[in-house]
Amino acid sequence: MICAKNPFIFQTGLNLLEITGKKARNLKELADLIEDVPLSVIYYHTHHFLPFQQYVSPKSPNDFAYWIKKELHEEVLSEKIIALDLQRPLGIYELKERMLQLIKKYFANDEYRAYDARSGKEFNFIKAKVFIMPTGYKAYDLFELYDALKSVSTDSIYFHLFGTDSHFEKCVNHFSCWLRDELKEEALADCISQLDPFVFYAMETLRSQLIRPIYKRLKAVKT
Amino acid sequence: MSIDEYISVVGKGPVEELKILADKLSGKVIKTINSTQMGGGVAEILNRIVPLLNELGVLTKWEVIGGSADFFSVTKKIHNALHGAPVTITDEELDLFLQNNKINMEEMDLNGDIVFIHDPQPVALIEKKEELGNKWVWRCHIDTHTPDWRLWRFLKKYIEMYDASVFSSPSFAHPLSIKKFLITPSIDPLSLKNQELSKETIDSVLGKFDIKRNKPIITQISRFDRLKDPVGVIEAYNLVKKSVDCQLILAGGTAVDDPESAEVLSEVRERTEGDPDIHVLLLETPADIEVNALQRASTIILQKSLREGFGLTVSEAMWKGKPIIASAVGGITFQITHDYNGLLTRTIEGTAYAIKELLCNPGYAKRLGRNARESAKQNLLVTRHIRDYLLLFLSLYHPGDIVYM
Repeated sequence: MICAKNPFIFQTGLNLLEITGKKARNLKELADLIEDVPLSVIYYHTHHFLPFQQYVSPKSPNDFAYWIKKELHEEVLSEKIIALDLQRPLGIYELKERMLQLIKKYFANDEYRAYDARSGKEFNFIKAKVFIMPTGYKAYDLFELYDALKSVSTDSIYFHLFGTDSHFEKCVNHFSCWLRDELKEEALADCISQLDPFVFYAMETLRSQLIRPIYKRLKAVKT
Repeated sequence: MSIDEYISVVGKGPVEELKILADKLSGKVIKTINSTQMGGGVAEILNRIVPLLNELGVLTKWEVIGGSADFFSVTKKIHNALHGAPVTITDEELDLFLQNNKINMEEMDLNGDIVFIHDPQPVALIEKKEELGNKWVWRCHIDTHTPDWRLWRFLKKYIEMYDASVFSSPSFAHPLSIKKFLITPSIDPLSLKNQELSKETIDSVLGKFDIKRNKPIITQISRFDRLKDPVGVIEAYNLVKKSVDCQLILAGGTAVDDPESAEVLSEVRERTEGDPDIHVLLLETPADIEVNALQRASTIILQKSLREGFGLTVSEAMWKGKPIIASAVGGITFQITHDYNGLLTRTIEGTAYAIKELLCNPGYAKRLGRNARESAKQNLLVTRHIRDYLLLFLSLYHPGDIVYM
């Protein structure tokens, strides 16, 4: 089994949420603000599990789509925005542009009703201030990676699956990169890069989905 | 309770991360200040969080402001007015409020790297900031969605002198010139109020209050406060009682900073006189085991608040896997998703209907309770809350959207 020259250093990304004070009552205001806010805000609203929703059903991580459906009752547009998920991996900027295109196109649609959300149900733009730090876990080979994955927090797993560059422009799957570059595990890297954290009911399910192909590969290597 | 004991609830990784974060704050002293040591959600949270922060190595000192009965009458009015209740606060009362803050300012030791002030009662202590040169954070636990605007403008002058503010919901945060962070409160799964209890303990508490398990138990645990609408609860119960036999528990304590509770309690007693199936219990603070047992013995938990900052009693009931019916107000809507992990209602009639619905469909009630427990585990526990506070403290020293530590 190959031992990496550069270990996989487990980090974690912890979010402190900041209320930007910007809120949208309707689709037009939403589009204007999506255009206006920094990418860190778009990143937050499209890359986190919807709080208190994740046990209902696997939900799109897209808060905009959720709000458009729940508060504006624009189901068609909501579905189209959710479906952008199929085009992952998209950069944050690209995702923002495609959402804006869909919303602006929708204004000309017969379905569009120009509703205002009720008072107190506006879309509140939240910014995540991300603190990135090492967890103390590292792995030089598949065994160590497997062991560490059993202990680290789900925030750490999430961070490495959805890590962003320092400008919030693109997302990088750190596990796949390391497996490919350091261990030459192309097939395993491909398999993990296809994991979509948002199709699972809970973060712990995500952990087991990540561990499973590594375990299978370890068994194959042993035999 | 040791921080390592939480590993059995949340896993090893999150607890290790708390230790790493705390280490980054090593040497800093936090001074946290509120208006009561016991009674109410804020004191309860601080009672859990302060010892854990200290164990993690973040030296945290907790102090409580003093004040006369008149001062606390004014702060209660301020509290209600921030919730949007129709209250008139005179200039003389605001003067008394400021005067009391000044006295506390002189008497209290406000040193520390970070002074963490909770709610409006001690908000004006901030006037000491310039002299001390330390960092100050104001934490609002109240539903300020529709406040009395005159009062909000009065408080805003002080709030904007802080380095940062914290709210439990974006809709509570009005425009301010300082940063506004979003942090939801929490419950402690290992506290006496939330830990597992044996059947014997639960039975003994029921015995103490002479409550039998011969009919379904509907319970609201809350301070005797008009904003918790105990009278509305009684009316909802009366509507249900016409068709489904059940009993009602209204249980709560009092707090030093709530002079109105005795009046509300007496009104509640008057309204319930003559019905042996209504148990009005004035609990001596702390009454953690009693509250825990009453919640666990209940068939349904109610939280029929008219306003609610967050509603920790809802979180507690969720953690215990109980079916909950709660008002769609304030922070409750953050916790309960209607028809998934509880039921949200808006009227007395709606609450009565929901009670009947759950009493008649125990399988549905059980499913709501199971989902509530999972939601609480994911979002409402004290370990997540401590993590957010540590990040908040660190944010005062680390600007920027991404911080590499």
